[in-house]
Amino acid sequence: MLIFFSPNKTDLSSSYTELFRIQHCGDFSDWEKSKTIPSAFVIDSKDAQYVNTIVNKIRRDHLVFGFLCFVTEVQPSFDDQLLDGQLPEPSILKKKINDFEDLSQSFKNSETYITPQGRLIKYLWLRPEFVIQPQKDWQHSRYYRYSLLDALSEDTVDSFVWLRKLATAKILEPMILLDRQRECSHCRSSHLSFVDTCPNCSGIDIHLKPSLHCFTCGCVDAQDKFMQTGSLICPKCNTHLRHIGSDYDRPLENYQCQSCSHAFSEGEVLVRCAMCEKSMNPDELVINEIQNWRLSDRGRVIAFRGEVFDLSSGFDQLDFISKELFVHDLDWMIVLTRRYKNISFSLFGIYFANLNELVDEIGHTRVLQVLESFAQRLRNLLRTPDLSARTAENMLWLLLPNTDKQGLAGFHKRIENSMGQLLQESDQKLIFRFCSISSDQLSDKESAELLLARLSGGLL
Amino acid sequence: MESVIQNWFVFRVAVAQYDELQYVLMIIPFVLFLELPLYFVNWIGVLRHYYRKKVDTPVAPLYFPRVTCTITCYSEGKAVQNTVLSLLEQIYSGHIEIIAAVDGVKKNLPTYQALKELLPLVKNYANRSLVILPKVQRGGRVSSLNAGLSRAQGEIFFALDGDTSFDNQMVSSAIAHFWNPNTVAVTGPMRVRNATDTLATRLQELEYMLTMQVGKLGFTQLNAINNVPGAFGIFRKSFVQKIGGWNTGTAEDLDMTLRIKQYHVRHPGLKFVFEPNAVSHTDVPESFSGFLKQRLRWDGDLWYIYSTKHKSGISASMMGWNNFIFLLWYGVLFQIIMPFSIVIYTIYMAITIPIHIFILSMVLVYLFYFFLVLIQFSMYLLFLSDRKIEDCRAFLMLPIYPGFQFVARVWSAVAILNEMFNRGHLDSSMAPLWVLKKGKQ
Repeated sequence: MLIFFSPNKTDLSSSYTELFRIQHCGDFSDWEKSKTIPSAFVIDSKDAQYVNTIVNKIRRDHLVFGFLCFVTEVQPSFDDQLLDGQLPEPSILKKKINDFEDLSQSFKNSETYITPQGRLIKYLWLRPEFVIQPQKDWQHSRYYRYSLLDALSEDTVDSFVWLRKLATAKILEPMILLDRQRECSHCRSSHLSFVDTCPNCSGIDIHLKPSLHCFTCGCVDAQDKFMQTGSLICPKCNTHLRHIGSDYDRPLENYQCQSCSHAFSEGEVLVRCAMCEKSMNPDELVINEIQNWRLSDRGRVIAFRGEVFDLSSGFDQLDFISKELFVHDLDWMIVLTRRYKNISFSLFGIYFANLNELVDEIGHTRVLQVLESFAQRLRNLLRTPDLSARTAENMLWLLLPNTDKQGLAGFHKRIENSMGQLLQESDQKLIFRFCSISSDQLSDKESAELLLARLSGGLL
Repeated sequence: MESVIQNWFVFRVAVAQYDELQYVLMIIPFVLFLELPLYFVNWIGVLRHYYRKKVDTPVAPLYFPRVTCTITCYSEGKAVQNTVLSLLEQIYSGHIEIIAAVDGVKKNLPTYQALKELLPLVKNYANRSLVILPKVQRGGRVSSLNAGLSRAQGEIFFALDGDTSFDNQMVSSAIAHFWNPNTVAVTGPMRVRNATDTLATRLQELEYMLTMQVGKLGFTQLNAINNVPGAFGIFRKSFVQKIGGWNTGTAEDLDMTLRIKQYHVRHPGLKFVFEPNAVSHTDVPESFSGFLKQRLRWDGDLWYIYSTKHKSGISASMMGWNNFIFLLWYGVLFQIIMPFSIVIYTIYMAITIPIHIFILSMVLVYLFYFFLVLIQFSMYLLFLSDRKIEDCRAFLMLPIYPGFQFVARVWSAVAILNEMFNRGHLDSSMAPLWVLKKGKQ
């Protein structure tokens, strides 16, 4: 069924009526009375205000926000981020609706989709090629706005803040950098004005005052003082100044403040925000990068799996340090053992080969539980100075100081024991591999990066 | 005193022994009739100018039309900034529109960049504007001037070189002459900016003082200027537009001067003016080889212009007797025939008379020219120079200047021969060959 919005009663051509059932609505409130779920919406009007109002209401409705919405005639003033373009021929329309319904079925509905983020993922999932574009709007305080994000969040959050969250969660990924703008550090408005001020008293009443510097006597004064019957004569030494560069030049101080008479070469620029009326220096302004965005791979996984979860959160009990720090410390240990032969250390790697597949088989809650209990046991095995880091979702590294070859063998045995229990818990389906090396096995040219790469390469 | 008289007698006795001395004496009428009148014209011109300056009330008409300065730029690089800056600095209350035409801009990006750096500076000056005209296709000086002419909004058109800068009274003192509607072209002294660099530039500095300043002032008093130089010519725009702008080919400046002169019979009022206060400063070649290369082009172009382009234009019925006689005398006799006669005569003397007589006569010729130049330079320094102390340094060059003049004359003959047989005007850096070929051959 097509819901057909039109201010005046008009008929679609018979080719549509043959294929689809049509319901006419004058405006959105007409549809709200029945709340019929359509195959697609069609808006027939040239009035931008009418079209934009209806489509904004559709996108803000929790029931039908994601449905296809066409217009009979595309106009530049229409909000194309919210619309799906021109109403196609009936046969193509039929195909589009079918594709849409396929995608809709493959989409895993869950209660998370009552949130704006869920609605956004669904909207983008149903339109695989869709790119979230910013629009320029001089009436908007940020100048750029994302009308789709405004509609789906029902104007409850700032689009840029929301985008940052979505990017951090890796649900959206940026495509092209379109603009870089400076914004007020207080209210983030981009409606700024710049004014030159006196560096001495900060007054704005400054003016250009040409002055001269005589080469003969070094006199610097206003140009008017030099002018005598159509030529430049130095008021101090009476030299006739004929040629710039050889007789005289211009001092760099070109401006003079009317309030404090201070002469200067360049005024200080002050920024004033038109929205919050606060003043600031240009270097205090916040740089905002305007990009267009699309649904990331991770976003798509969420769309068809239905849940947002992070496998590695199972390891949260292990106090991981960052990879950079781990590499740095490992380098330091390598250098240390090379210099002092009585010092030793070992490096231990744990690789889980099939975490994602396991999720499909036994469910992600079970997997999380398994990993959590593994992490608990691993933590008991580690000593206080041992360091751990994660270089990938399924790759853990342990740096064990003061552990030689024998110590490493002991550690290996203990960790294998605890892995046996892990295997039982996961119905013997978890595939994991170990790699390890102790400091006396290291060659002279080894560095931390190389060592990690070499060891993890052996695991894959 | 006695010894001087004794020496003089020895000299006379020595001279009396040789009949060939008649050859030495032959040079005197040759020089007297050909050169001295030109020098006299110059001297009278300078004195007349000095007298007028002292006696006439200075007239400063309230006439400040919008003017256009077209700078033809090529590979000047940063040096072009001096030119533009010196124009921005002019003490002139009218509007000065500066058009900088960069020829072959792709090759000459540093020049273009240097000009662009100046754009923010222009707003500091009232009544000044700078238009940069990047010309992708190289068309030569003439095409740059014509491009400037077609865009010019000013009444008076300044045709200037990218390596020439100007005193800050240049525009105002030149413009005053255009108050007279008959004035069509004005030029002024050209001083050598890089004079102290080498011996070659010092000699050229002296030459510019004597020919570009004393010479031009004298000729202009007769309303018979030899040439309005290409690096510094000021024209009434409407007139230049009416006669079709600059013409293809080399020596476009001499071509323009001759074309204006050809209106003299029809419009007897037409006036050329030399304004001593409109001072320009230009760079000259720093080496002797550079100097010779430049003169090869300049002197060769004379023959090209006189013999080809203006063959039929040089007539009394076109330019009037005044200009016709001047052109025959100065242009043909002095600039074309003299170099050859000097060369032939010197060789003839070297072969036919004994070597010591030859040397003696050469010494005489040298002394003659030395005193001639001394007088000319003293007059310049006393009555014309606007930087007297600075110009005194040229005194040092006076003893070797006659030798320099001689070399330049001989070279002039070479240049003319090169043009006659080798068509040297096609080998010019002023425009690409395909443009030069379009000129009248």
